[in-house]
Amino acid sequence: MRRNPGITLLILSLSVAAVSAQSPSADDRATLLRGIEAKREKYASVAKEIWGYAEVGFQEQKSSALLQRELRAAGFTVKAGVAGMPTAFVATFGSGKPVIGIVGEFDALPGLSQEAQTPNHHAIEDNTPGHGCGHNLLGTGSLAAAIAVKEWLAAGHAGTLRYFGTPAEEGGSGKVYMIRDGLFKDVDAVVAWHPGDRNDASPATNLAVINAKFRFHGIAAHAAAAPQRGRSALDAVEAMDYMVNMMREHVPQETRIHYIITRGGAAPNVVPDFAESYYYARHPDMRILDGIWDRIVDAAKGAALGTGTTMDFEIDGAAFNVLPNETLGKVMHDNLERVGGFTYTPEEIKFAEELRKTLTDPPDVQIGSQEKVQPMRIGTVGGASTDLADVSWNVPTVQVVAATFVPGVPAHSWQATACPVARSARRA
Amino acid sequence: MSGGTIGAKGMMVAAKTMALTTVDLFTDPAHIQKAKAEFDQKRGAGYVYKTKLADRKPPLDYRK
Repeated sequence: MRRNPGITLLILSLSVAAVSAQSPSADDRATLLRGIEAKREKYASVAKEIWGYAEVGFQEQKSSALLQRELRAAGFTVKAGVAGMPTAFVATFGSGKPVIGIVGEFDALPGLSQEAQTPNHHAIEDNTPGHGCGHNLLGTGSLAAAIAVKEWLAAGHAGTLRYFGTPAEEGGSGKVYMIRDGLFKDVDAVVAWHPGDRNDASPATNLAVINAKFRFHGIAAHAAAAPQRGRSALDAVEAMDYMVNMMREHVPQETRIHYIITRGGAAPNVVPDFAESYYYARHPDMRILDGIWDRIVDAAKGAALGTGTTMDFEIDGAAFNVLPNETLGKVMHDNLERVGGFTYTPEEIKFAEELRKTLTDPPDVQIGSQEKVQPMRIGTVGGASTDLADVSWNVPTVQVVAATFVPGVPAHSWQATACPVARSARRA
Repeated sequence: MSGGTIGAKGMMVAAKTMALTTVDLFTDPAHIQKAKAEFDQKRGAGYVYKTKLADRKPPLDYRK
């Protein structure tokens, strides 16, 4: 059959027009990537600075101020101290629909101080915070993305871009208060990322979490001369722990429960009149976790009753399991493929090899995997929790993981703190 | 040493991927429409978000 060349051409040009109206031009994409690449040194130095501040949840004054300053300088309007949190902010550029949010975090973890680029465990200062979850990179990478998108909007495109500066991701649930105050109400989609040990845009879910401090109040007495007059708050903590530990056998397999004793009395010869434990409970489904949580609270009540003490508790954090969005995940994955991974220099390989020697039971992910993009998998469940999950139940949310840690290095480790910045600036 | 260390390299991958994705979402309304349909279907009809933190203030001192 002979084709009419004129009709073929017409169909071709129509389909080209349809595609070009629906996706950014190759030029636009190249401009975005070039814009970010051109400021590589700048962003590396911002990330370094925040790494040096290593401020824990809700204490991130300097880190938050630095990101705000950069966003203001780039032309964003910044509203700081939102939702009752001095270090939370929202930076906005553009107007009209759609409204797209990019999320940034910047809090450090207690006790994870570590010299940068040092492949053995050496704290800069013992028992001080460190960026063992890479949030210095998180806030800065999101800043870089936001500024590049802003340039694109400024070149004559419609829509509103918001950078959400979200404090205290590590157990403080900063985002939950921002949701509660309506800051995500008009947002159509949220784009986020997290540091990790691979490049992966799979729309995974994770664990819902509830954290609380259980406080027991007893009666102090001389532990030898008049123990019968005392009621030990520490006994109550131990009784609760015992009951919860027995409960582990009767909860769904995927449940995680962990605790520490934060206050256990002042001296062995004084019956403790105050003791406190700090619990986290997790499960991949918040509805099931709710039921488990009620049983933990019952154990605390029972412990108080049996030890003649009183109990109160304070939930200081709660985060949902992530609601993954496969539609957005596919868009993110295609772009991750476009960007691709990266190679290590011989120096970096040496460092990575040394660091991997310190790992216990490393997962099957090798040096060199950072050059690749992981295939998109559906239905995976990560072992951590995040308040980004609460955002994902309010706004369609997408997240990408990038290989900022040496392959095999877990988050919340000194090895993770060691990765992010150049040695020359370890005390930035 | 330049900024080309492991952490910064990974950060650049994330920044670029997010920028491209955000511009895709601004450019093609179908992405957000489809994402919202998936979101509504997964949450279920009449879903109301409720957090256990509903009544409390941010625990500004929890790490002090």
